[in-house]
Amino acid sequence: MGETNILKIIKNGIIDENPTFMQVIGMCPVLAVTTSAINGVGMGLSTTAVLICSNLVISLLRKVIPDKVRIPCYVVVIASFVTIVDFLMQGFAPPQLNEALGIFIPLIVVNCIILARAESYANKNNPLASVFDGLGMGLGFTLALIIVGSVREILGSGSIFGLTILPEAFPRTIIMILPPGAFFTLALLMAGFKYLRGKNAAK
Amino acid sequence: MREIIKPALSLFVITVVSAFLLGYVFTITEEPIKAAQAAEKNKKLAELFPEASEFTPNFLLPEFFSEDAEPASAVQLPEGGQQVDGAFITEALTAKSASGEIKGYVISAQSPGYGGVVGILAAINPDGTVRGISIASSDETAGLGLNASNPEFTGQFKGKSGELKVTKVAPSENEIEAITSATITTSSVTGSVNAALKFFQSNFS
Repeated sequence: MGETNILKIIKNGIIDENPTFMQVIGMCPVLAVTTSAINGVGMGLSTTAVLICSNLVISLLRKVIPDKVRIPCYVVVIASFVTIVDFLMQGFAPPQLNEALGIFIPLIVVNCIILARAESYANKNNPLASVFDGLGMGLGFTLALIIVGSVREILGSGSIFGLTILPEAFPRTIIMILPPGAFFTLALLMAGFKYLRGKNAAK
Repeated sequence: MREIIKPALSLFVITVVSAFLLGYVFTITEEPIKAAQAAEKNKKLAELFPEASEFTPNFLLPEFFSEDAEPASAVQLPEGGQQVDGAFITEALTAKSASGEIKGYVISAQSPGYGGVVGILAAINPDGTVRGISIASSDETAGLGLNASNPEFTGQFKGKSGELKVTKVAPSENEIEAITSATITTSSVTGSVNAALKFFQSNFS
């Protein structure tokens, strides 16, 4: 596999098939945890790590798993895998790391990006390509979470990554960090992303 | 028939292997996880009582506060917990210095907030005033209810005693100023502190 190929796989995850803006999968965490930019980083990176590993495992097992029962097999493998990561993080990771990322791990079990990549990529491709697909998709997801989180944090709390940037006099739009704000932000960003993609494709 | 048995067997094998792996990882991580959680709690206790070197648990009396109303809706009574008004006391520790002198008490309380149960640790001086509080667990909204862990908020409880009330204007004696747009979280924390104070009055003073 050439270097260009790897880059293509990663770019595919970040832009062409961005899980959030293009595929619209894994919406639950995008809406729920993006009240601040730093949450987006935590959720995104945890998902990326799990996605890389689950893609690798599924790809290695792709010859063993019978086609007819592949979905239950993926669910068992992924759920066990995430639970193991959760235990290991709580037990052995440095407390700061566990505090920052640990709360997102249980959310990943129910994240459909993991299952979607197993089903549509890892079970058809070799382990190396699957790992890079996981990396690309994970980074695309992280990027989307950070963008949504930043917009909501700036408008709702007047800060970015916890640093206050808007003057005190500027009114905070509380609704942006409440659940409706997630929908507003996501809808507008998705429209913008699609518009830009369409413009590029037309060229 | 073969078509049914083969996939079923494969799924069975994968499930069994996963179960064994899970069981194995659980066994090897059980102790470290407990140790990590204990270390986390000890860190919070040490922040509240830097001079204390020993925290002895006080066992809760089962009949205590049993005349109180029904447990608050949507909240499960923690195992062994005691209900005081709308909050639950889950643990009470006596903080002692190395020489055995009682420095105060740490009472863990929890009550429903906006996004789930909010747990606090309330440190209480032997004279019945609040020494400080610390948020032990909370799922409140980031940027709103989560601000309850900021020192600007928790600091308000220092030196207070008696029944505390939540206010939205400049607080007077025995009043706690609500966090903007997080009145429910503020009420939950204040309620837990009140419960801890009441528990202290009934048990330790």
